[in-house]
Amino acid sequence: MTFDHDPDRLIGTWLDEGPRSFAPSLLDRTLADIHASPQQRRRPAPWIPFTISLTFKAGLAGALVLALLLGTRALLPWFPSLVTGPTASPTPATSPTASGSPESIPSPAPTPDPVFVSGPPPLVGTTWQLVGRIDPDRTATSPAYVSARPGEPALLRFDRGGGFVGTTGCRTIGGGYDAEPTGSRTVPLDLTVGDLRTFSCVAPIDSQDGGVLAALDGAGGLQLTTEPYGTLAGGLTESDLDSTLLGHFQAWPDLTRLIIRDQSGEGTLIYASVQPDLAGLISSDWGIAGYLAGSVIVPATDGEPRIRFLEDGTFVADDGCGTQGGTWGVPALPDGAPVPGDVDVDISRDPDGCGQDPQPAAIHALLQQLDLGWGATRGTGALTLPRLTEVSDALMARFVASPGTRWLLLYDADRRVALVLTQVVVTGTLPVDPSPSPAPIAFQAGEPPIAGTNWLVVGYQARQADPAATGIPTYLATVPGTRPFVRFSEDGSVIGSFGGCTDFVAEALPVPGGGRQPPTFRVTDTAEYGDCSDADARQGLLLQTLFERASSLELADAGFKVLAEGIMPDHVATVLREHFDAWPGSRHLILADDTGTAMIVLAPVDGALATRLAPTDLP
Amino acid sequence: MVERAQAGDAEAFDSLARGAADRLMAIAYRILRDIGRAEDAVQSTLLTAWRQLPGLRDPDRFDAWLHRLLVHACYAEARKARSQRHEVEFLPVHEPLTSDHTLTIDDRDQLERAFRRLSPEHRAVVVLKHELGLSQPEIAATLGIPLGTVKSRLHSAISTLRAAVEADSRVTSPRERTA
Repeated sequence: MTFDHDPDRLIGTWLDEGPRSFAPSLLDRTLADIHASPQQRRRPAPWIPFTISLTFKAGLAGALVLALLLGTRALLPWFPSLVTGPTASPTPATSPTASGSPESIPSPAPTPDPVFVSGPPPLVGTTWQLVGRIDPDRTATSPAYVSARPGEPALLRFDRGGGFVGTTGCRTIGGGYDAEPTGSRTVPLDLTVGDLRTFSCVAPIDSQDGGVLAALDGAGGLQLTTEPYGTLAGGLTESDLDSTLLGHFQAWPDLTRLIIRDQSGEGTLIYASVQPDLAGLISSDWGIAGYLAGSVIVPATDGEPRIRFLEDGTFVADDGCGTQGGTWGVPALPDGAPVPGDVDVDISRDPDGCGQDPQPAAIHALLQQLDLGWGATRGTGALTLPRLTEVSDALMARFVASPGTRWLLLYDADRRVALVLTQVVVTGTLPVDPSPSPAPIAFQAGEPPIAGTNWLVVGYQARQADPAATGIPTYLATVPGTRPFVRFSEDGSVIGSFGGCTDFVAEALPVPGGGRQPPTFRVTDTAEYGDCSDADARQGLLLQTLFERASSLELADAGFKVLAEGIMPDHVATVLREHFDAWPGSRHLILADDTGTAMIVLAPVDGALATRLAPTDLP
Repeated sequence: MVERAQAGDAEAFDSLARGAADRLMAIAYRILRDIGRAEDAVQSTLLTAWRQLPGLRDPDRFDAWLHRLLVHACYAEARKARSQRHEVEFLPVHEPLTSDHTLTIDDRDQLERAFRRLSPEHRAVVVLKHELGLSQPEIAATLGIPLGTVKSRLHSAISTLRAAVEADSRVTSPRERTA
């Protein structure tokens, strides 16, 4: 074959091969999932789209209009004296005045459903958090997006007087921006760098610090964008950002981004708005939906533990057996603006009479060491604060989240998520159940039944060697070529393979009084083979352990509703895609442990799979 | 129809999606060379299209806009494939060939290997040209890149394919090996 004669015809002929249809059934399911997702609606003027290329006069007028419309205190602070000598850490904006030792949680008034602020925020008066960075030395085909380090966010705030303040995670920064644009969407930034917080400037924050400083130092312009598919540095477009942000930062396509390019146009900082919604924190009762136990977050069960933050800087909490109180404060940026993501909590009184119940004791212990972190979801259910991926994994695995659910996350001193709280609507004196159980999925005609289908293992849970390193389980794809699988029979028998090393036969354990309990299995026979790799052998051991620990067996349908009822399908799919190469429309069988955490994920396969224990190939 | 879908009419969007799905699948597969990832890209494209359709200023540009979304979804899928440490191998899906079989199996293998050496960006311009029959300016408009970039990518893609095929031929030719 040669290209010399007619390369176009050759390529055209070859490209003509291959599928040309999208499976109608898959399209049906895709469209069903899609319509569960809201459309991104544009908001009317006065400030969409908002760019600095407007004249200063117009921008000032817009900001004033906004200030009048919103009436938020975030717009009120004027730019202070520049941060030439900032303090090492933010100072509390809220100074607690009470010692925090209430006798009981006050009788709450009914709380309305959460109301979420929607629509893009203005440049001025908004706290912007760095969510991504494109380094100057990267090409368009391999962009490097660097997540801001959890707990050390890089922030920016612009004032209407032409100044800005912020942090890089290591140091405070400030400066001015030219209100008179020198070109379309181009506004030079004049950067001033504050003191280095050397005690906290360690990897990877130092990289974040250096990247932000380098980009800001050579910043050629800033752009506030809600426009889809604007061109970014290096030929990237907003579409690239969307998919990458979804994958890395759990953001949503309708996210308003502040984009700052350096003078070369290649280095780019991407900020997303964080909205200090103190009113949402203070005015609500928060039911404790889960807590950190050892290295994992487990759902809270009895006692309806809850917490309420009061405007005077105190809080009251009920850990399930008694009330306790403390104080809280919200640190601020150098301009005094509160920053969501930092809450200091101090317990002033121990609970009494909790006995040996581990849950209140655990919650009480956690309340005593809380360090930082609070936040809320956007209307679509996405979290908007640091540690998003970890939190999302935990929420997906452990809790029943509904679109629009507002979460309050409290972190321990090691900056692990310690408490997961949901906003509850209070009627009378007790909160309603914040975590209803997901409804079982009924099999539909044509769906693969659990029994009689060959289920190929596509991923399984793996704990890290150091369980304290993370509270969130990770998932591994299977070793290529090993093809572990499970086949369930109506009579409770199971046959399958844990990989290339081990085939097995198992049975569903009998239950007292007769019958079988399908979710609980015991391996009764195995056939070991020596012709397998070390990775395969390790996988086999892990899979057998997980299989025998399973206590539930659920079929996740097109929207993964069992796995995460109510979470936006594409959100779940983002996580599942990364772990299991799954997507909405595919069906998966989830073997979970007694906490509801998915341990083994299986996908149905057509065609024969064989084990060396079976007399014949399975159909 | 587009305007109705922009206003939130799900049935109108479904109609648009059903009319475009096969075409999107054909393009995605030819860029990604993987049925599963192509399906993924089409799903992602339709989801993004639904969400962001209200922001489409010119409804007459819907098809071009959709193609642009698809190409970027393919880029994302390709990046994901590169970063994935383990490939989960599903049972092979046998799709009927629709060609006129003027290429031999060896030819196809050579082209397949060569095409996989192209970046997704280079594949996209080749596929848009051959699959949709777009002109170079139309490709530039669809992808939102300069015309010069389209030309250079096409030229580079053809050169790469030619070099890869010729190199492949040399390696697999017994005469070449013994020479």
